[in-house]
Amino acid sequence: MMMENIEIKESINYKNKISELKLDFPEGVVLLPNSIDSATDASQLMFDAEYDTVQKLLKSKGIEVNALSKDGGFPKIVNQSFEWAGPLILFTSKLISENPEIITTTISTITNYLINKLRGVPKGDNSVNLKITTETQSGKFKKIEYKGPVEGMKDLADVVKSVHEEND
Amino acid sequence: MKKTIENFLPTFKKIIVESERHCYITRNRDVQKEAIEKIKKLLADITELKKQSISQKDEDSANLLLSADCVANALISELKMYGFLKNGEPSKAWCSLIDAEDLINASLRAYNLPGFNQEGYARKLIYIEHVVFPPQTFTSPSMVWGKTDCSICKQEYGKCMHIAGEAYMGEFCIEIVQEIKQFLSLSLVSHPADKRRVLTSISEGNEGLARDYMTWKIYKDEKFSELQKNKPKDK
Repeated sequence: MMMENIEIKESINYKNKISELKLDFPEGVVLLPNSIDSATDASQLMFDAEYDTVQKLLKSKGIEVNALSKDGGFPKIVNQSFEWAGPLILFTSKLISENPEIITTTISTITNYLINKLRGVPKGDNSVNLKITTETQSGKFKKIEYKGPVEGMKDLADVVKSVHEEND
Repeated sequence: MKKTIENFLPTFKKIIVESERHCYITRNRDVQKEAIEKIKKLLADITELKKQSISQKDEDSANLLLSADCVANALISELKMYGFLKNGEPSKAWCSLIDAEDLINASLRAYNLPGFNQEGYARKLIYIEHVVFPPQTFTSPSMVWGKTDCSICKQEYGKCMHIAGEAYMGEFCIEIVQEIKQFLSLSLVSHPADKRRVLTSISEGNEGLARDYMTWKIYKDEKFSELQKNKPKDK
């Protein structure tokens, strides 16, 4: 399903995937490497460069957030193109039921940071690539990918919430 | 400190506005050099005031002065750009322009300076990029980083609360790379993170000639000739 700048698709069950990779499932808002979908071993995982920054941003707003981790940590892959690419952000149903505003708070924190960071950049050139996965009411996982200018992120939280509400 | 800053800002604005009057290609070289010297004196005042702010732990003033420092340096870079263009050094001029763009963007992150349109100035520099210079082809490396540290607290970047690019007590946080584990690729892109990474030349045939991407002039590529000389002969 496509809306302007937003693509929604089925995704893998991340709870199962993390267990298959013999890693612990983090509490709170979970940050995952974008490479997790295709990884067959934890040694293949690499975080996108911005995951540390995203984790700090969310923590500074009092949001409980944890990145997938292992002893020795994960290396970071850095593509020095202009596009700001965030880590994969995961919301579980349990987290959303405990904190219904978590999706809005998380996305607005990242959006406000990017608005300030990209202020001098012409509107046509600022580009954000953010992937969010949410557990639906029926226990499936769906991935919402946003690719576009930071100004277009204003509807993203509502889209993620409505995907979470799905019960098919 | 607030009173000192309030007294400083009109002086800052006056010098900046005067300098902006000389940010045109038509201005005389000596006039532009004088403008650079005036801004450098202003920078010395900014540095001193920032030291005082930091010693008084006045983060608001320190970040305001950091922003002012960036604006002043952006103007110097723009003025230098005109000098390089007049000297027939367009590649250096391009780098000076990108320095100016980076500096004005940094000033926006550090502090909104009252009475100064930082976003407007950033837009002006983008116009110069597209009107004065030919379209560029950029390169963008992809690599795997290991350990990175925070420039503010020197801890491992992932373990502190400082955010790269943000201003703290008059200083920008930088994520310092301590280990590059792997170089993955080099791509040609239209929107790079660093616009200084431009293609500088393209080869012209097999005779050791190259064309400068900025000037479009053909020249003898000494490096290419050297490579050809040392090339293993085909069996």
